[in-house]
Order: sequence, then C-alpha cells, then structure tokens
Amino acid sequence: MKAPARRSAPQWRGVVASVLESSCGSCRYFCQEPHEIESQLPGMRSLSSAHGSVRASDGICRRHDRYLGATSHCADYQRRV
Amino acid sequence: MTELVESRVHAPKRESAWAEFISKDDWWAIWIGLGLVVVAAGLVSSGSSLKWLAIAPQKWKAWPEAVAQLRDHAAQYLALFALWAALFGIGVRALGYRLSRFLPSFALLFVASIGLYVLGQWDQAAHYNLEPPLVALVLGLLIANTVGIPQWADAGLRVELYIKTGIVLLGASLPLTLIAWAGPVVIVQAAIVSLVTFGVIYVTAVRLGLDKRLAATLGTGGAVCGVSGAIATAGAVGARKEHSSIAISLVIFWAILAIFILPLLARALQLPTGVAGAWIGTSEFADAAGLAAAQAYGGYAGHVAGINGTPEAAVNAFTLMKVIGRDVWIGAWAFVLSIIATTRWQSTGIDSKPNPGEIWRRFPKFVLGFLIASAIVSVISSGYSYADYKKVVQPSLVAPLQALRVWAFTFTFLAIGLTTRVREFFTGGAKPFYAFTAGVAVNVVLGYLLSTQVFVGFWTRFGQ
Repeated sequence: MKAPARRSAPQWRGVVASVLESSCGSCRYFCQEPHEIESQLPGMRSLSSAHGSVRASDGICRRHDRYLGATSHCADYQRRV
Repeated sequence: MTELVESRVHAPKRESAWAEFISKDDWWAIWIGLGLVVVAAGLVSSGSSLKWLAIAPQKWKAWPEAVAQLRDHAAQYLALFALWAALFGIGVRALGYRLSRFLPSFALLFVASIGLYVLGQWDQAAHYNLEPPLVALVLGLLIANTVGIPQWADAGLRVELYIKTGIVLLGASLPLTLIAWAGPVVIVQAAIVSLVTFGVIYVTAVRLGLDKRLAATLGTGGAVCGVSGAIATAGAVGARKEHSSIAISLVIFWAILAIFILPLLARALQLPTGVAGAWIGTSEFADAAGLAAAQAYGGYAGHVAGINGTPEAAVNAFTLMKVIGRDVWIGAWAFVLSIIATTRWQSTGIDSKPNPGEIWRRFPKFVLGFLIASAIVSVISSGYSYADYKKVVQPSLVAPLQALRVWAFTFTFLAIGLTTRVREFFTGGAKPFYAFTAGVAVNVVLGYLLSTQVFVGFWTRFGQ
C-alpha cells in the first residue's frame, strides 16, 4: 500500500490559503464592515457593538441573508473584486 | 501544486493579527482604562495625584450650592472634558468614526452627564427615586423616541466603549484577592443559572416550532451575555439575519425593563447591596443595563431605611457575577453550539468547521484589562500598611479612578437610552417572545433563590 504523499510547508500554506480564499471572508456577498452590520441589525449598538471582540470576524451574507462566521463557505462563493 | 501556489499568490489580503488591537472596542477600553490606571499610579509614586482632574460633584441641599460648585470647579470640568474627549476621540477615530461628528455629540453627552451627576448628589435624590442611572435612561429613552437623535450623533454614543472602559477602571478598586475569593461561588452560581436559563429558552422555543438556530441564539442571549451572547452564537451557528434581530430586540426589551424592575424588587425586599448586586448580575442580560440597575441600587445604601451594605458592593458583586461568571464563557458557548449546529442540525447549505480558536477570538478582551487593573493596584497596595493605604492609596489613587469610572458609567447610561428605539421591539412575533420570556421568569426566580438563599451568607459578607 502506497503511503500518502507528504506536503511541504509551502504546500500546506497553499492549502490554507486556498481554503481561506474561498471562504465567506473574501466573498463579495459577505459584509464584515462594523458600521454596516450595526445598521443592518437594529438595536445592536444600544447594548453591544459590532466592534466588540465577541463578534470575532462574523458578518452578514447578503446572498443567504444569514449572520455567520468569515471562515464559512458555500457553493455560491464569488470572489470580492 | 501549481494550483496551490496560484492560490497562495492570489489569496485575499488578510487583516494583520495586530489590527485587532486597534479595531476592537475591547482593546480601546483596555488602552484607555489601563492607561489611566498606570498614569494615576505613576503620579502617586511621585507624590502627586489625578485628584484635581477626577472632579466629581459633591452633596448639596439647595440649587445655589450646586451652581456654586460648578462655577468654582469650572476649569476642572473643562479639563476633564478635554481628557475624555481626547481619549475616547482617539479610540472612536480608530473604530472608523469622524472626529467632527464625535466631538459635538460627546460634548452634549458630557454636559448632560454633569447635570445627571449633580442631580444624583442632591440630598433628596434617593427620596424621589432620582438615581442617576435610572434618570439617565429615562431621559435618553424619552429624547430618542420623541424628538429623535440625528445620525451624526451616533459617533458619540458608543455604549460598549464607555461601559468596557468603566469596567476596566472598576478593576482598580477590587483587590485581586477578593476576585480570587469570590471566583468559585461566582462561577458555580452563574453556571447553574446560565445552563438552566439556556435550557428553558431553547426547549420552549423548539417546542413552539422555532428554528433551532434561532432557539440557540435566543438562549445564549438570555443565559450568557445579552446582545453580545446572541450575536456570538448567531455567527457561530449561522443564524438567519432576521433571527439575530429578533434576539437582539428581545434582549434589549427585557434588559431595559429589568433595569427598573430588579432594583425595585430588591428595594421592596430590603436586600443588602451585595446580595442585590449578585442577583442583578445573575438575572440581568447585558453588562451596561445591569450596571445601571446595580449602581442605582447601590445608591439606596445609607439613604433608604433597611438597606444595608456599601454602595460599591452592589456594583462589585454585579460585575463579578456578570463579567467573570457569565461573559467570559461566551466563546466556549459559541464553540460548543457551532459543533452541535454542524453535526446535529439540518444543513443550511453553508459549511463551517468549528474551530476551538474561536473561544479565544470571541473572548471579551476587556476582562483582561479589568484583571490587570486589579493586579496593578493590588501590588501597589501590598507595599503599604492598612493605615497608610487609607491615608495615601485610597484618596490619591483609588478614589480618583473610582470618580473617573462613575463618569464612564454615566456616559453609558445616557447612551443606552439615546440609542434604544422602542419601535424596534417585538419585531419577531409571539413565539420568540414567549420562549425568551419563559427564560426570563426562570432566570429571575432562580437568580433570586441562589443569591438570597443558597449563597446568601457569602454575598452578605461580600457587601460589608
């Protein structure tokens, strides 16, 4: 049985970059801008903030109308230009 | 391989890890709060103090007295305004707001805060229930929901930046040993309430036929840390945007009501300040709202017959229970729920891989500032005898930082009212309301029983 090919560090960086590249964080439908998030979620700024650590890098997907993490991904991904 | 290298070359530009230090209000609260603590400590060690700058209105009986106070200390109030405007202005600018919008808005907030602070020092204020946090909230709500607030004023109404800065400053008046002593009780009490409240809201919501992601978002909003808890979970489980809005509006509705109801109930029951602070910390939904309730209740001490304990005890007990007991666990809640969402719940067509790193990424970093401030003042105090602590450290270091903290909290209470729009409540229909309200009912009763029966001895001692 043939052992699986080992990847070098640059290759692993490529894999990670590939995953990151196609995740919500770089998608044109994904909004991470805090001011925009606060205006889209009324009330958020009165007892919280889109600038807080707890939000991490979450944002709003305009395609699916969901609030989700920047590392999520789906078939509708389109790179932000 | 070519494809991999190609991906790396064209990978989107990622934000530097350092960027978080200037792009999150948690970190700005740390820079501002700890900066003030360090400067105050430095001044004390050189024989000086921040006392002149940390001006606060004193008790008065008749208006001419209050006016005379303001006139005599006008230069100090102006200097204090300049200090806060500069510190918060830098932070707000880094968060992406224009200084030209922040400064006029903050100036109005500061002037209104002076008025509230002065009103709170009237010797009849407690008699007429004119506690500054409650008056600030009512005033803000009235203005925002009648006259309205122009959009440009948003820059000066940063509730979270003010409250987090105030909590970091609060660390300076809480000895680290006290935090360590209270820690186990705080964590046990908060864990019981959080788990039960989450369970009640989640099960009720699911039985009413609501989406599980909405149920979880509502659950953490009620059980952990209010709006922040709700949005952290919404992001972790990939909730619908409208579901996030529903959870936010329900948390705000109940949090604002609880600001008035909890101190009134505690007053009627004549609870000691430490016990009431623990109850409010267990049963309120948001830091800012809870601090308004706790500070208002602390104001009754010494003014309302039958209420024992110090004013500080209500705020201290609240902060330990809410911040250490509940807030710090939000990352763990979000991580566990993200695992359940991806493995047990119906797919949304969007994939996400739970990552334990989220626990740290979502950690409310301002808590670190609170603990470091406590450690700094504890280390300084350890070099003094108790008599010298009372003579030197308390008046020169702790008292000015306490005064600055009260200012930060006053800005917060006003800003809550000014940013809350009543028309945004009840946007999600009856079912989410019933589910969340079931959690509120259980939370308030359980919080009361734990604070006044199970751990009453501890919280009574804490308040003395």
